[in-house]
Amino acid sequence: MFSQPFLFVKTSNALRHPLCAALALAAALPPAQAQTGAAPQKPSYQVEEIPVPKGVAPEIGGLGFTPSGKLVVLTRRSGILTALPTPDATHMQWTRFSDQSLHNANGLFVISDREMLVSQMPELTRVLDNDGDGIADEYRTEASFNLSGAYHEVTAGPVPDGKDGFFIALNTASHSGFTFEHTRGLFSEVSRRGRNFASVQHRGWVMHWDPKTGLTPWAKGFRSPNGIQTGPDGSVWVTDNQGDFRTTNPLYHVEQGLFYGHPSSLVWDPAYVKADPKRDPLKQPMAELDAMRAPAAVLFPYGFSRSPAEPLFDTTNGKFGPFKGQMLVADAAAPRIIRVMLEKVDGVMQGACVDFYSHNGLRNGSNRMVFSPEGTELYVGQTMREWAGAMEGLQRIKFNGGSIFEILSMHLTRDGFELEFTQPVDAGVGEKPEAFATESYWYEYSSNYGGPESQSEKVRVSSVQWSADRRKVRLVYPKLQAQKVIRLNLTGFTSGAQPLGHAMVAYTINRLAN
Amino acid sequence: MNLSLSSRRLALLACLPALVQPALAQKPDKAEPLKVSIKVIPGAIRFETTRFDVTAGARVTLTLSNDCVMPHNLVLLKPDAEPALVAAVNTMGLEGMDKHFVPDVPGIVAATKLLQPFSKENISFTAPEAEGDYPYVCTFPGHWFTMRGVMRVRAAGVALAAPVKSGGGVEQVPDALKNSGMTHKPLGTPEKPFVMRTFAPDPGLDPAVFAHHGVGKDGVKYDPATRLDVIGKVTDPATGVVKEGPVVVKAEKGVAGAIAVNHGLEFSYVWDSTECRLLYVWRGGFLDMDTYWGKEPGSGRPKMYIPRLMGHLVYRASGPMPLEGEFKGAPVFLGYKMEKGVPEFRYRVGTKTYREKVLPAGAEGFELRITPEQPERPKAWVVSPEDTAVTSVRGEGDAFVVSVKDRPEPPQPAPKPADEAKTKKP
Ligand SMILES: [Cu+2]
Repeated sequence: MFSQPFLFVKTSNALRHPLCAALALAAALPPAQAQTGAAPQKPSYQVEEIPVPKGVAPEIGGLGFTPSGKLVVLTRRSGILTALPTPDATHMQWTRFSDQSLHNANGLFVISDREMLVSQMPELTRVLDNDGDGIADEYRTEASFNLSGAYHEVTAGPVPDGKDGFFIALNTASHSGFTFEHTRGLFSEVSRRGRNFASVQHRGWVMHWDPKTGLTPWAKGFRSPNGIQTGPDGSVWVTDNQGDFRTTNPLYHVEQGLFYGHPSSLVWDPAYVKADPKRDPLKQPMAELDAMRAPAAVLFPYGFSRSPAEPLFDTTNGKFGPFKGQMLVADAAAPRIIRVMLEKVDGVMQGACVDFYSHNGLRNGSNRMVFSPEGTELYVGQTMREWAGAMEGLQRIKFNGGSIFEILSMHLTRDGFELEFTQPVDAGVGEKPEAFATESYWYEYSSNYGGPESQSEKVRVSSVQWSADRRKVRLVYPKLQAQKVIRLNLTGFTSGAQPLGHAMVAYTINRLAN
Repeated sequence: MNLSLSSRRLALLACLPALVQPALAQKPDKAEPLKVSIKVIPGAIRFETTRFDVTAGARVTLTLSNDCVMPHNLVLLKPDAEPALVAAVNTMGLEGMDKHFVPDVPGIVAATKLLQPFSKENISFTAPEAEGDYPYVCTFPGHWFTMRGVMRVRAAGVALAAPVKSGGGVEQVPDALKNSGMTHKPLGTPEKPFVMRTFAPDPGLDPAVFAHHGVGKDGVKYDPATRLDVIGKVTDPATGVVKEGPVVVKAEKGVAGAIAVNHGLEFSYVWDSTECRLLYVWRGGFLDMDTYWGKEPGSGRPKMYIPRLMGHLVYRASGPMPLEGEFKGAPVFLGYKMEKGVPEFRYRVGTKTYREKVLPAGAEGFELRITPEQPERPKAWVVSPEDTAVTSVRGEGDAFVVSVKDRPEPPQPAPKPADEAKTKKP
């Protein structure tokens, strides 16, 4: 137990944010106005640092809330902490709910003050406080995960399936890690080949687990699925990381039995190896693998997203701003949280991504997120210990209200897009097609470790039609094609002189609208 | 529009040689151009490099990289040209986009295009002959308040200072891990042992101990670009002959599902959740996690991904599992409970469930306390002939207790320099 507040040197958030707001304002206004100094608006979203107790490595593998309102923080090597959130983030009274026994724990589902499900390298574990003293006394194995011995074989999830079960994503091994002489689980020599590989069973799979049926393979073809979430409608979403067979960072809408493009996991699919137990997916022609794979719902522009982690649906019903029902995605290698606007077109999920919040106090390395029970705060946990430097810690983003000028939605139409804004766009802005600078490109499926945008071209908008309230605009393009990312840059858009918060939006077209 | 910009730049370059003729004449014609790389700090409306030096008359190649979500440019100006430029940009309005926000005004030394997000551009120019401070700004409306720097032109022969870089916005966020005080050499006490699931060292145990593991084989290095194994010079271990062949990646010794427990400096053990048995015991220290976690926060991953044993082994398991005769198939690990601070492991073999505790017994031995959850007792606790360390098995209430006497080995080796931290892509 940590009953005393601990020493923490707080950087001046109070100073930083109004300055940034003023800066953003200055960026949008002609210099004469900016220099006279418009009163800076309190930022709508504000980041706060949450210190954790001394001796705890603040590498956040999972976040949750108990039904009684306690924040639960799962760390990757310092166990589970709990605290009742306080308005002053520096004065939380932390309790160590578990010991430090969990191995690289990277997924959490909170059941109650006394019971939590945690995924760690070797297993799915139920952590229990049987005697109710606030400290866990039992670590019950619910499912065992195979390991070749690579540090990269981490987990994501459990996330609930809406019934009694859960989904868990299992990362592949990386060639930068080890393979042990004695592996946990059956070893496949065929699938030891590869940049990232699945030499033990079900690496690169999304698994389903429930107490009755146990652990069953559910979908395959993943490389480094470090983010998994289920939507309010029960849909399953997984982010994966740019690398071999991943030209850029994707978001997948995952359906049972489908293959998502990274081939190493295929050797653990009985149907795939039925005719030939030694069948090597790395030797299968790219065109065949391409034909087998299910598309990404969203292909994040590389650089904009560097390492997507946990997706989270905004279920706050407006308590966290105007983006009700949309998805936020943490990025573990950029100081950014991405917002995703999804829609179903011709039976397939696809959509657009835009910056939700970046820099301005947000640390790099965001891995896991949870909304406070009230919905007005987003808790963000960071960890990127592996290769990109120290980016670890716990923060929360508070919603302060105020005017937010952003792209609210992007909807594919028969001949273009309809964009909706959170506020009316000023008259005289965005009247001409040139105001909607558009690029079209694609990410080719390739075995390479990442790849460029290809087939890039500038696309001209042929007509612009604003709604009477100037919240919506219909853009017509001469010819839209499927298998294209359409990226718009809305430079200079204002609403009552307030600049558009985030001007770049990229829409992945899997299917055209009829 | 691009055309008008590049022709203007050409015009500038064309008139410069006339001014700098005498100086240039003294320089070798094909001198390497001075390379300057300037990054945009994403989201911060700032250049990372805020000052750089060049020699008067030198050829300069400047790269601007824009990894920001906003468009930016870089316009390099003569020392007093900024007010006129700012006034001109202000009258451009959105049409300025077409001209990359570079107006036709005198005093522009060089300029990039308006770079879209995640793009870069190289421009080449000849540094002015007159020494002085030449400002550079981003002329995207409003950006020049913060997005600026200075190119200092120094006389030939004057040493050039290293570029000055601003910290950017990101570093202001505290490094919570570095300040955490997290120890990489954890220790427990006899009253409150430290329990940690981790990849653990395999000190060369009898392979029979790993009966329920897979057999990990050496791999070959693989190139995802060509989809082929990497071929290199390989030494045949038998003959010593070097020839071309696939580059082998050796399988390593390690325990994937280990549970490492420490009762203080004098007693540590590894119990394996895959084999459901005690693997080894050591004294004189626990685990140095540097070789798994990295030497310090942010130093990247080490080469090993396995901690190092500190101290000396006093017991290593050998042969099949002592309860092997009781069941077929693999044992199933069910978890553990903390009993007065001490973990009691629970596992199932066949249809039988057992609980097991490992406890030190004096300075020269230890005990396994095993409690069956069913009334039947196992027929035998079988140890391999070489495992003479087991001295007795006795019943004690519901449990049976296996006493083991230490068999001390020499101390474990000190770390090698090869274990140094090294950052790699995942
Ligand atoms: Cu700029």
